[in-house]
Amino acid sequence: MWAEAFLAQAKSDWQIYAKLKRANESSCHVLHYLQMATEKLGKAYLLAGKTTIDEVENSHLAFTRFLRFISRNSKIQERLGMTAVQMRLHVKSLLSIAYAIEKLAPALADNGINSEYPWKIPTGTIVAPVNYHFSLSEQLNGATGLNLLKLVNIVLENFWVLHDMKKRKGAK
Amino acid sequence: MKTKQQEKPRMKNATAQKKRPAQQINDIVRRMVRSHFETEDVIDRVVWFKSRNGAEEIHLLEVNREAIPSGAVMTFYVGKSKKFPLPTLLADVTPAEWRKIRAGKIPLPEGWSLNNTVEFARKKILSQVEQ
Repeated sequence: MWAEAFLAQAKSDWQIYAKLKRANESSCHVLHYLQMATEKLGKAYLLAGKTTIDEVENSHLAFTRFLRFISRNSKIQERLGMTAVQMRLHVKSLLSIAYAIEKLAPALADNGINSEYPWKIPTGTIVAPVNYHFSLSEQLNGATGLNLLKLVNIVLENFWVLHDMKKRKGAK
Repeated sequence: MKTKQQEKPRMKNATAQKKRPAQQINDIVRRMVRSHFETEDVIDRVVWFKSRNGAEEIHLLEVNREAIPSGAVMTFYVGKSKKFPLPTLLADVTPAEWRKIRAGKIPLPEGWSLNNTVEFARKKILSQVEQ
């Protein structure tokens, strides 16, 4: 099943993200894995909701889209002890950081700041991600950023519960 | 003492009772739609694609002024709860995408048909007194 495979990869990317962060590696590498983990989580959520793989492969902004919908999931509302309205407001406060993470992907960066490939700034200087100071890293250490990371972790750990299903056989 | 032949029809009835009556499903969907309108003020319209085979899974499409345009109908699962005890697939589209869906230019997910829908308009639903 596609959703299981995307979820397994998202979990693996998330573990690497956590290791890189603990090891205090360069922000570009840490953020690259965070972007990949969240993109795959968003796609896994779409696939588990019966969106076809063709549509998912052609989709952008999967993580932002996922966040807008996860706030509607009754199980996550119960888990966080929030009403639908509270959950909506909570998620709304996370969207700008989520979008910043999503835009780290070269496909959405429009030849600009991203976590993988060098880019050229208007003055003509070429910048390597490894030498760039990503303010997003600091945002992620703030209260809103931590709330977003916490939510991602909860969904990764409880993915099938949120879909009223038990953990599937063989799924990590 | 009852014979096996007498017991069989009772078991069938017991199975049949598990299925929700259409009116109950209708009420749950209406409450769910109302709740979505109350939570999200950018939803203008909700379309319920009714199941033809009697399946309880609810398919809702929201016409949302702030939806992220994708040119497709992407569905997400919304978990069951005590308040809304039915599995639900939810999608949102922009008003322009909804017009394209109605014109047959954007395909619907498998099993969803424009021939069997109920449309809920924001103003009308919110003006009704809650049951």
